Amino acid sequence: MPDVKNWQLGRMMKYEYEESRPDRQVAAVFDINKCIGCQTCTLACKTTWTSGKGQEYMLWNSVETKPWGSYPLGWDARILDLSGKQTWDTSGATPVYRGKTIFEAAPDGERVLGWQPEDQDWANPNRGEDETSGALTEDKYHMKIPHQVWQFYLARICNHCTYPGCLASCPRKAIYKRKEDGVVLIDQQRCRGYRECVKACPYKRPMYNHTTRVSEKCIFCYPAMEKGIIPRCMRNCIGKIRIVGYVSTPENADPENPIDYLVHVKKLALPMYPHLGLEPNVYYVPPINVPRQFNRQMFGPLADAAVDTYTRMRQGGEPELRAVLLLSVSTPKLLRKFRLDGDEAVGYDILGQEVVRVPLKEPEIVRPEYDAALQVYRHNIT
Amino acid sequence: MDVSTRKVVVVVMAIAMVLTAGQLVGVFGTTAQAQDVLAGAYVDGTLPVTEPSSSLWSRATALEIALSAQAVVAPIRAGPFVPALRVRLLTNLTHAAFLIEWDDATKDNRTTRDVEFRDAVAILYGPGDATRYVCMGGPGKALQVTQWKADWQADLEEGFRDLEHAYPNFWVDMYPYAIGGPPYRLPDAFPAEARVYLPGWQVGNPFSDPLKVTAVEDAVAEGFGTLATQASQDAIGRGVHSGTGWAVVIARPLVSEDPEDVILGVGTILAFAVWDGSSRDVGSRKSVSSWVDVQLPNPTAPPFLLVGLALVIVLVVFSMVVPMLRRRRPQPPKERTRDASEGDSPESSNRREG
Repeated sequence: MPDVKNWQLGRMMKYEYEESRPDRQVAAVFDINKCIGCQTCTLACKTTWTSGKGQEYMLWNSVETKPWGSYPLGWDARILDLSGKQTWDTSGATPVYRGKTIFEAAPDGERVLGWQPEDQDWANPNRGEDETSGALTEDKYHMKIPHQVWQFYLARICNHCTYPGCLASCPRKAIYKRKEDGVVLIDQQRCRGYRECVKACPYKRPMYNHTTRVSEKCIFCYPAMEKGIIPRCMRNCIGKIRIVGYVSTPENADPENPIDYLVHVKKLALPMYPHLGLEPNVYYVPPINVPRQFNRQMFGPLADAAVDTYTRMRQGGEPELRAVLLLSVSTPKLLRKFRLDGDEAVGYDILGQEVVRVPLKEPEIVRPEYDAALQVYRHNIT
Repeated sequence: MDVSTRKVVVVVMAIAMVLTAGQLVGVFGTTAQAQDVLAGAYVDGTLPVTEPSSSLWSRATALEIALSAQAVVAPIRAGPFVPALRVRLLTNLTHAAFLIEWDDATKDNRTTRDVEFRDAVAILYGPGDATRYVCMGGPGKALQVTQWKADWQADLEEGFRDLEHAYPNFWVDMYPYAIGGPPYRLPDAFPAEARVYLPGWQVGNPFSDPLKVTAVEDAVAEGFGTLATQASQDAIGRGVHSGTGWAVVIARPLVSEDPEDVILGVGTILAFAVWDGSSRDVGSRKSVSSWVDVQLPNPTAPPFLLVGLALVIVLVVFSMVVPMLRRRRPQPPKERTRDASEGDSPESSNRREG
């Protein structure tokens, strides 16, 4: 297998094909701390793309209640079990992964280390949703404030990886990565329903259509993206946790690019399970209310620093960081650049036009309880 | 025992000549002369393209073909492989039909659920100079493949297998633009505007098409991973599962006008592949053979000549046997003192007496 550069691992790694990065790579940052688990993103995607026969169980976008929720069942625990204990070398300035990726750990005769979900694994989306992590009969978990259990909502879509497991596994090359934007697609004409991609993707985002008997997956709403409009799941995000754009490699990072700023400059947004080796392009701001060990497992060795940075921002620091995060879902336009202009965050679209301006702090306006002009009393005066 | 050696020899010769005559006209099959040559038998008339149990197949010699797990490209199958196939070939003036049999206790003809994989068998056709292209052809060397699929046949014989069959308790309120009511069966409930929500079908993927016309896909390949459905579909066939294994017929023209087809004639070589769905065989996870030579019966020999030749042989046999039997007389008592070493057998004695 050829050697390719995976900057998220800090080293070269083995992959099925030569390194061939797209002209630009679509990416998104999800701020887990802002997700309320409303599943609006799930429904926005579902009603747009997977409402056909054979797609009933398909949720290209799902929101899982971690640590227990999962779709398909135990997708993360299963691949972690298969991978076994792995290590990072954190002695240098940049962490280096010393374990094996799913490509390097592939058994003889396989291209990727993976597992095949069965019907029952898909049958209970987000099993464990809103469940506590212990029995309520135990005193320490029952009706105590503050809560002694932790959980968070993990919104997931296809990561449109730089080194997709699905693409590597398909013996027919029916899966391809678009040169123009890095979107990973399954060719619906070429696919013959082998389901190698379903088995190989550790994030379990390719799904088998029961009726058309071929596999399908998230398309990052590329028809919208081509027009500079962000995907459906992002546009409809109630919690405004998502910011969409293009990510560069570290050496080409543009500090004015919202994604590059979050991923490369501040290192606040981290890939999920980077050690698997796919260089996923959906990044997460780690939750600050969970055990750091769990964050390190899920987001790698930079998770601690990211939590510290986010905490600093919440305490009033990091104004640029606040600015870029405030631009999340503030406009349906794809943001190419951002700028902090005084107390306002400004976003620019792919043409460089200013399309949104958001104050860092919402102006506080208090209205009189009684409106003399309308001769009514107000219940909400702020 | 009073049967003379001469009589035994004559009867054996007669049987052999009758059998030869029978083989000439295709009444009896023959035994394989070589492990890697598939000898066909000629049929004057219609081939049993949908009848794996037809008596016509007994005219053709069954060739046992050893298989091994495909191990050239990953992924490869992890489980035990199908060890062998038995193949017979019948031809008429225009078509060839292969009867392929193999042991498989599980009938896997559904592909609706997430881990349902089909039983299937395929034939790879190559011209004589394609021996190094056993891996489904190569760049610039396109070879023809015909693949029978158990689930395609189930669609044909039982109607399109869909959610309502895999999940009997399945219920749905509506699908965009679908007409009628649950369970909204394909294809009738899905007019053109509703098919947009069935992407594979919408873009013309034959695997997604609920209206199958044959259980055999006529395809072309230029190496592993390149298999593509041909624009012109020229193959048909049918399989029957006995409970212990499959008997599948794949039929195709000897020569077609389709430039993507390989002519089945002198020098054509074949390779076979089998998928066992319950072992999760799919794609490159399969059992494969090496190349097999084909020996086609001479399609230009008019059958009546063969029948005539057989009749001549039979007449010759009878002309030898009948007079001998007529000359047979009750044997006189043997001279007990006669020494067998004198050399005359009872038959020779009888002949002399005659």
